[in-house]
Amino acid sequence: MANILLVEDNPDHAKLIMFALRDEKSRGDLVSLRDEQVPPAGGDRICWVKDGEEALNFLYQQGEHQDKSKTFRPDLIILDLRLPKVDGNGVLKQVKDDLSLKSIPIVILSSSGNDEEIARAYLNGVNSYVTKPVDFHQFREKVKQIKSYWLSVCTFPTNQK
Amino acid sequence: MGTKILVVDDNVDTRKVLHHSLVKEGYEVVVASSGAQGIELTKKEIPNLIVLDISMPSMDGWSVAEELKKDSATAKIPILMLTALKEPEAIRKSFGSGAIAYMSKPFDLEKLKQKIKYLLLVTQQGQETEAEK
Repeated sequence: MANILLVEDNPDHAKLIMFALRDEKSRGDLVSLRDEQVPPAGGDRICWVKDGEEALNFLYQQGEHQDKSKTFRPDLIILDLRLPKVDGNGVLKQVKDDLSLKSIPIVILSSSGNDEEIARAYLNGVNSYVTKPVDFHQFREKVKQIKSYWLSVCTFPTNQK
Repeated sequence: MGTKILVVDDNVDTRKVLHHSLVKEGYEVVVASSGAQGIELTKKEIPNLIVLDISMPSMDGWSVAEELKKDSATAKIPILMLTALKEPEAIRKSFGSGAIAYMSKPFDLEKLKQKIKYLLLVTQQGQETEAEK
């Protein structure tokens, strides 16, 4: 029962990632805030936001995400780099500057394998930088591995939610 | 010595709610109703944490934070910004002025208490490590 925030402006990639995340044994259910679905008990909650500004608004429960019953503190943030309004690095820096959010693992999932971008992301405190594989099955496998590592293998402080 | 928290907010209801619930948690709580009073009390009391409202008349929370960061005696006190502002720009500005955490109003009291507890845990641990050196 994990909470995942997915920040991705490409709807095809977002769907693919959500599909892979849900495919994991405990078939979680997709919560898209747009279609007003109530999160089902027991499943993972995944919220998909389309730009960096919306991601920050979600994390700080403001703007379009003021309704506190529909937001959550994520256990994992999957972040794209090239995003409208506030880019991936902007979101990353903000979360890592906030002492109360800093421990949330952030995985950048980007199509760019540019060394400079990778180095910058790690300097800004990203937990993992993963490139998006072109192959569909590899893509799914990578997403599953990310989920399993950050949500099952690792331990995080419990008193901060 | 107990843990001291300073609450700076021009809204009397927020001050009352926070004072009441934080005292109940076992903290020593000091309240200020303006930015200027907030700075004065910070210097006098040296709290372990400041809960600071942004929108206040005459001196806003950002200016208060900037003032406190200038003085070495108060520069390291962690600040949690509390705001009813809706602009995404407010987040960036808050961290730019020296806040270490941010929460929007209306806040969930339980979440705020948990956040405070966690912030105190991590900031005090940091201070201890520094003292050991």
